[in-house]
Amino acid sequence: MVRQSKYVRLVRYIVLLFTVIFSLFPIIWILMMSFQNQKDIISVPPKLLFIPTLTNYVDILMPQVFNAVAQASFPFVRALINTIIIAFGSVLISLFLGIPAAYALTRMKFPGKENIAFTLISFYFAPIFAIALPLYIIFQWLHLYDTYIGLMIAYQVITLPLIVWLLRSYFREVPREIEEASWVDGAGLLRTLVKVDLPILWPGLAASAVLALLFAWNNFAIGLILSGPNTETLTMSTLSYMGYGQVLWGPLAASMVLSMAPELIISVWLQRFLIRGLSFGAVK
Amino acid sequence: MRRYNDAYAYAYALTAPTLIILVVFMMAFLFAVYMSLTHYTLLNQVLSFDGLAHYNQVMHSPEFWESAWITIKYTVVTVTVQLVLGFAIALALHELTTEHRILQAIVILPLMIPPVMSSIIWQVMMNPSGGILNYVLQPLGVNSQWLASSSTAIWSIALIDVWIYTPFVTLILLAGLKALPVEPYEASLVDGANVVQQFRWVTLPYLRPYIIIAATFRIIGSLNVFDEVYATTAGGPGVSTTTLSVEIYKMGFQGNLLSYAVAIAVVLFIVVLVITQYLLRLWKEEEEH
Repeated sequence: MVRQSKYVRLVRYIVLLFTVIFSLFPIIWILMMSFQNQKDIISVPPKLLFIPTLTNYVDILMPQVFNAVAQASFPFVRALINTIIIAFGSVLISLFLGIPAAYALTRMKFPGKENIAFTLISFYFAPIFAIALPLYIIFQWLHLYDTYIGLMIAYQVITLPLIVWLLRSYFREVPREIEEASWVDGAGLLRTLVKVDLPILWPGLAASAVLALLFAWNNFAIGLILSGPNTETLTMSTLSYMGYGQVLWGPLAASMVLSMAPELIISVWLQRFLIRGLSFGAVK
Repeated sequence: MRRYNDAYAYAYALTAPTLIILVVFMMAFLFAVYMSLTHYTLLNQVLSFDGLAHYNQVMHSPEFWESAWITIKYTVVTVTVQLVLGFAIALALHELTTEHRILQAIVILPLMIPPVMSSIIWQVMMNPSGGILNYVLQPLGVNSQWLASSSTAIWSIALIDVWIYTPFVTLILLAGLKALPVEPYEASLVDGANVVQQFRWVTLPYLRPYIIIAATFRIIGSLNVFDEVYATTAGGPGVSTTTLSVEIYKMGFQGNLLSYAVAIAVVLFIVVLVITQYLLRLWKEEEEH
């Protein structure tokens, strides 16, 4: 390419510096806030130097220790467990349903094939309320409202299209000859899928599952409509700190930091895969 | 040897589990359409048939058109800014040797966090009295009401949206830049093209498919925007940030007009479906090129 002039290089570094500050500042800010007491947080002008405290973390993890702020019960641990159950459950269901479907949609010819793939991604792109509102009524009839299984079914609208579309792009990379050789050896279709295909696309499969987990973890609107006191997720419980009256900023910040931390760590590992994952396999 | 790939029965057997879920969602959507033709509220849960009354109401509702207009301008602004910024950042990151991986890891962080939580963080920073943003930007003469004023609230949410999703555009375009062939650049150098001409006549045309993919996801994402608004302003002040999804939620759960809310959801669904179909066809054409 063109040899870059000093001027172009300068512009490039200014853009990067600005981007790094813009990206990191809010994350660092909330991290700092989680180690401040309520007085430091609401002080004007904002305090940059303060004595760090772990009170907020103790408050949300062990609310019984300090009774001072316990008039509001902190739903963090409960919400964390709910989120883990719902997110992992949804992704497991999606893998179970999606792996065979992705195989058929890549390798086989049959009527309606393209329509199925298109319908899947259409539901992903659909306004979530077009599905969540009718489910809200139907789930009440079926007693699935505010249950883990009900939420896992609803979450399929996000995780299943992602898993199927991504795995399709990975199945395309498995050489057909290997499968055919396995058939010649007398292995059946499912056996070949499990013993031949899956070991080859294992890294892609793992990364797809982790990304689907992230999508489920971050979702808010489905829980807002379909979950209740028994199944409240982290994204919902975070908002409940803001409720009426005085906002408890410290515990709010601490619970957000703990909810985000695993994702930020995973993202480093997921980096190489993210482009393909987030574009549903369209860009490699 | 058996030719599994040609037998429909095997294909449908493998697809069946996914088809069951698809049928569930389709039935849910058909139920939504049916609901929208009735007069169903949370207080009066009877599906009494009402014909197209709700759609007639939607089309004549100033609130609906107001929220449609807010959604459109929000989408145009956020997607444009994200594409321009994302492109600039991708160009800055491209062919950077040593620090590349670390910088890229930092740049994508906002994309990993739940949008609801990002929005709360920004809401705290945007507090007009004592928030860090006004404090830091004071030397530049900025003293904004941010989310608290009906004239700036929607653009404050747009700023949050830009913070969250610009990395998405950056990632996709970075992949495009990496896949650029070298020859056209050498040819353009021989022809005496300068950097701007090269960008206009070589880089942009080659990146077209990547731009379309990034735009597809972002256009649809912005048309459906809900989390960022709900977490910050819940549609206010007044109706200044009431996007279509927020209008649906408000009507259904605060206005107690569930079947009317569902009618708006059906309209939005159809609009998004048409756009999705168009953009996916564009994808396909680009792929076949």
